[in-house]
Amino acid sequence: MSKIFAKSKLKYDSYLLICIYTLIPLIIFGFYKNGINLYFKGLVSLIYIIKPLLFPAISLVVGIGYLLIFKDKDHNKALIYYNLLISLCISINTNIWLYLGLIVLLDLIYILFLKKLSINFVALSILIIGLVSYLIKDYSFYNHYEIINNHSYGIIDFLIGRSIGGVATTNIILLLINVLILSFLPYYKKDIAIMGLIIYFVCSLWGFVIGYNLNEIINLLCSYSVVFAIIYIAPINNYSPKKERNRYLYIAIICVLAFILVYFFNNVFAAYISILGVNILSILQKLFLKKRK
Amino acid sequence: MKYVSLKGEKLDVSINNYYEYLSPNYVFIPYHAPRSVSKKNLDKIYKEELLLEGTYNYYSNISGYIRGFKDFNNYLNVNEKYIVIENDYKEKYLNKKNINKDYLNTKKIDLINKLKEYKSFYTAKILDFLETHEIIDNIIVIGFDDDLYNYANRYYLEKDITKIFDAISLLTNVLDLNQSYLLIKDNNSKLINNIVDFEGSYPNIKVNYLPDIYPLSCKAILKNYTKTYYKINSLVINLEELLIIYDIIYRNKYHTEKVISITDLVNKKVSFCYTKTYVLIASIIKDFPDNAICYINNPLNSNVIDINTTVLTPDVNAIIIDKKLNYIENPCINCGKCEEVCPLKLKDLTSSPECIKCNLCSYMCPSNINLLENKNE
Repeated sequence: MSKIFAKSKLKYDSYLLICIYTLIPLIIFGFYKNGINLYFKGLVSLIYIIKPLLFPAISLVVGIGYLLIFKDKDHNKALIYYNLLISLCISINTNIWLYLGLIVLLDLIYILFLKKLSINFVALSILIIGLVSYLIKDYSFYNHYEIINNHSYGIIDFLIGRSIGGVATTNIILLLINVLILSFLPYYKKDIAIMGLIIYFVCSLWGFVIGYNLNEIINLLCSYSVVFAIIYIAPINNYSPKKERNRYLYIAIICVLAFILVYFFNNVFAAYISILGVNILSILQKLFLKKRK
Repeated sequence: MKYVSLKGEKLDVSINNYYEYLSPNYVFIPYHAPRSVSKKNLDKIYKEELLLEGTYNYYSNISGYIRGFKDFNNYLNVNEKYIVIENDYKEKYLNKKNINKDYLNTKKIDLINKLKEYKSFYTAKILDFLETHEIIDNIIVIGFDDDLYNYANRYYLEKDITKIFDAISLLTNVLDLNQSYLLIKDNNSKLINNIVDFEGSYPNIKVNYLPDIYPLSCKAILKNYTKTYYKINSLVINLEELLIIYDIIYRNKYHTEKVISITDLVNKKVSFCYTKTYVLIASIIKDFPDNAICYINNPLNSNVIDINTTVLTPDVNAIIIDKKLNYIENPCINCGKCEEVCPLKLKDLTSSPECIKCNLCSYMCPSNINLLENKNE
């Protein structure tokens, strides 16, 4: 029984850490867009300013708490990263206590059950939090400024983050810079992100055929956190295919589905439904192939 | 196709850290039954005298007395019987052969006859090639150490580059060839500077500098870098095989000693030992640190050995002493790095029969999964 006595110096933990670092500028922008900007417009109280920071803070604390309880076994450190992604994708209108309760429960379910399955925990959690919030009261991704005003934003406005999305997922320019940084990391599946962005952009051009003008197309392209999901959630290692040819098929289906849900149904959860849907389909396909063998 | 270069600990490798172990108390010649033993217990045996005759012959590498059998392990942890020879420290030969003064007139048929006479396991592959290939295009000598923490070839090249070039030149003449190639990796500037001085003096030897990738000695990968001259009739040998053949042709000498590199990762030092073969590994290691482990040749695919019960056979090139490592295996995270780094781009890593067991997949795995071990299971 031979063993291996030398290992590559590439560490998965340092990869996760760099991914978390790339989220910091997005969090700062989210803090500005959904906190400081609203306060200076007189739409929210002083305490409300910190709400965009509270969600990632709760995620971090809960993630670290579980890491201390369950120790760093079976890549438990990844939970901190997943929690941060969830906190950035949910609506700013999510109730803090509801979020705290749900993230604690969801993390426990992940550690005890979901880790063994390959179900995309991030997409599933975002959908669950959205569904529960919607059931409790009217749930919207518009912040206080976006809901009361009719805006006339241009292309640049959408690119710098004035579109509809999660707490900190709308700044397309920062996201594109991040994808450039992430593509240098060894464990980042950059082919999924880059191909996804290209496919989604090409799909968006179909908007011209169905009667949208350029402004509307750019708005929809930048809205509903689809770009964020393509860059951060779709390429998560555990839930995306290993083989290169499967990755292209995986992201193509996600992008086409997301495009249909956004452009024809204006669905705010388009990206997460597509990712989770393809994820569940691939699990079922593996189970089917296993049974056949 | 992007290949991977192995990154190990940074060590100061100096050929001056050298010592000899040429007077062992005992040697242990492997007894692979069925074969006939030419001697009985307590018989006297001479250096280079035939001891075991069979598909391959084994010769004693010291003069002394047969002391029966004993069970030891080889470096693959396989338990085998060994014939024990006690050294009389006289290095007596039964029929000592002098240097072959006419070595420059040696022909291919003479070499084949000499290799047949010795019938050694370690030159069997070369003998087979020479017998089955009437036409040989060229000789390709692998002068680099492919495995991590192996420095034996580097020692041969830095210590006596003249002998290497002479050996290649001799073999080129014996096989009546126009050109031979010496392959070196381009990661050692000191060695390259030494070689550049020699290249011009041997017009029939071309030195090629290849990138530091792993596993470069694998045929499929080597061919990518040697396309213009690596042909079906190319004789590919490593440095040690070259030196064995050189000693057979020039000195009429059988291979009884070799240089081993001993890499101590605990104390971060590398030393070289010129030792008799078939000794216990413990006898050539000067200081073995407490709580350390020892493995042989390739750190990506090796076993922990007990140095007190493992015999140093001629296929051992490097001994590596390391700390006890605890790689905790985690579940697969599906990163796909194993498939990305596979040098042969195998479709199914775990069950492909074409796998060359380089274990690069396990080297890169962030979850510390030993894919080769799982495949064997």
